Amino acid sequence: MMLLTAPGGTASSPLAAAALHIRRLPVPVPPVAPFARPAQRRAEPSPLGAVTPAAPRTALLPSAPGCSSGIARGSPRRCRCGAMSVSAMFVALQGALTADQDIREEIRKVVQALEQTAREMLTLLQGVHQGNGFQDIPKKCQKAREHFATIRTQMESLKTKFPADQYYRFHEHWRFVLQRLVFLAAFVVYLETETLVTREAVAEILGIEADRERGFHLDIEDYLSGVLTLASELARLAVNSVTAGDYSRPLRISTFINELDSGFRLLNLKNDSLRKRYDGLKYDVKKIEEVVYDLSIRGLNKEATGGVGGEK
Amino acid sequence: MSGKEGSGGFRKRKHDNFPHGQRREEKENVNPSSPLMTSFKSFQLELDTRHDKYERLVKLSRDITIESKRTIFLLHRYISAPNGEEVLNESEVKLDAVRRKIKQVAQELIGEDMYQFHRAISPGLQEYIEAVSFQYFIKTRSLISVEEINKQLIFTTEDREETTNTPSSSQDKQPHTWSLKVTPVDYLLGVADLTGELMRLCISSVGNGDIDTPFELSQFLRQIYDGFTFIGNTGPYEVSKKLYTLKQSLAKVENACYTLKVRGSEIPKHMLADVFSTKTELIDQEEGLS
Repeated sequence: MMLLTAPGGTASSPLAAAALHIRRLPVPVPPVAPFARPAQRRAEPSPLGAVTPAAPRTALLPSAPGCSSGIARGSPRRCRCGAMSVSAMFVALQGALTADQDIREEIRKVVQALEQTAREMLTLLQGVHQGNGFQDIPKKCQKAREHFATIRTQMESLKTKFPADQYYRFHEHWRFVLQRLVFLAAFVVYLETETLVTREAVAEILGIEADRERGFHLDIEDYLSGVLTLASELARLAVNSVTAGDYSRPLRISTFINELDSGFRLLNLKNDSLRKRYDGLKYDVKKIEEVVYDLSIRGLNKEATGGVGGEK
Repeated sequence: MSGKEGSGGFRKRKHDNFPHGQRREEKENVNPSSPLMTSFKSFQLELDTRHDKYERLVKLSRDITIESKRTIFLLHRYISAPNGEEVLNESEVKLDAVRRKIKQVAQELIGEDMYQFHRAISPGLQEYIEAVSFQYFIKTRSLISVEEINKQLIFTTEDREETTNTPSSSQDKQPHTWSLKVTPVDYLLGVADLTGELMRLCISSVGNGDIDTPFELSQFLRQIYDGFTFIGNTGPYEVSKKLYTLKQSLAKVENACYTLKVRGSEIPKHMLADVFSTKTELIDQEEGLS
């Protein structure tokens, strides 16, 4: 009964020593173990560190210092192996978690750079919505394509930041930016050729693989999400092209979106984020249908089909 | 015309014009064998395969959870039952059954990225870790390590009976080894759950008149608690969340030890129940401990 309280203090000493070792704190190891723990805790900027129920407990143990030194000398106490292995285990786990955090930190840095490039490209491509932007679409696409070279080098560095077989472990870090990049690639390809970019082509543009087996790949759900973003962007483009006097483009967009819609209707989506995005597609379809309707009742689509040849 | 005007106008005529128009147009314009449609058909296949696998894993995970929970209940009987050995053997049988399920999980995950389906199997794995570490504690009075758990999760074809009901059994004809690695986070969460079981064990052992076990348990829990505070917020959010419950469990156990020490073994059992039900002064009493 009595000796049981004592080794509780000993459990903290290997941990505290390890903490000081791992974190490489400038604080020297205090001679008395129970005081080492609060020092480590203060140095750590942790919100949990504020919860310090253990500190007063350990400090209040009258027998703790004597006991811990006794253990250090190798006295065979009742729970020697248990105490050592539990703390050793947690030290190992902490090491694993810290390593994990370091990887995430590295990934976040690269992803930030990727997001920056993606923003620049988006700003560039937003120009097509402006009245006079319709004339130099090829030039804008050309410029955007130059940005993809930067993306490819950034992707290359992202690949080196984590073990190749743990793609999905860190997936959420680059998921958003990857979807954005798929959209940008799809938008550029649409503006150039008015077709839907294939998954393989996106992967090639971004400098990654289409298959999971071959390394850093493009997840199918990310690809589909990017394509859905393209749909809403095209709905906007249809409206704006009418404003700019281009009456033929909405008709072509309408055909494209309809095909996309029937494509998506083939999929059995789960109740996840992709499904939510897909639910928005019907509004894009409606929007474009509406534009086409407005054009046709005014006889503007006739004019447009006449003008298509001239435009091309 | 602006988009706003258009959408207002659309609402008025959506019933007569739009649905017909769209349906007709689709039939005319969408060619079912266009490259876009063919690629979406392959996407359909890919997504369905993935979702099916996920569902199978969720089901396995549920089964693992249920069986592990039952094992834990069984192990709680160990202290009170006179036939301790029997209970331990029975728990070993039950855990073997759980491991067979985990083997199926491992087979499902052949050639897959484990983390892709991690969310499906994580709850079951945590429960298994809880059960297996509880059993280990009762047997050896120490904490099972991740390596030890992982060692038990390596399966070979010769090792266990041939699984006939596995969905993927067609692929595993050739002799092969499967293993499933428990992630550190799963392990931590499982161990955090274990402390709750140990707290229950402590209370029931007091009820059985066992005076030594509570002290041993408070000692053990304190080590785990120290370990968790050492990890602090290095781990993910779930780990930090469990820390609070862990603190409560520890306070309960320490409080019980305090009461036992102060009043000795003559304390009436109904008073112990009071001790465990009062939570308000936990922190004060904790400081007064020892």
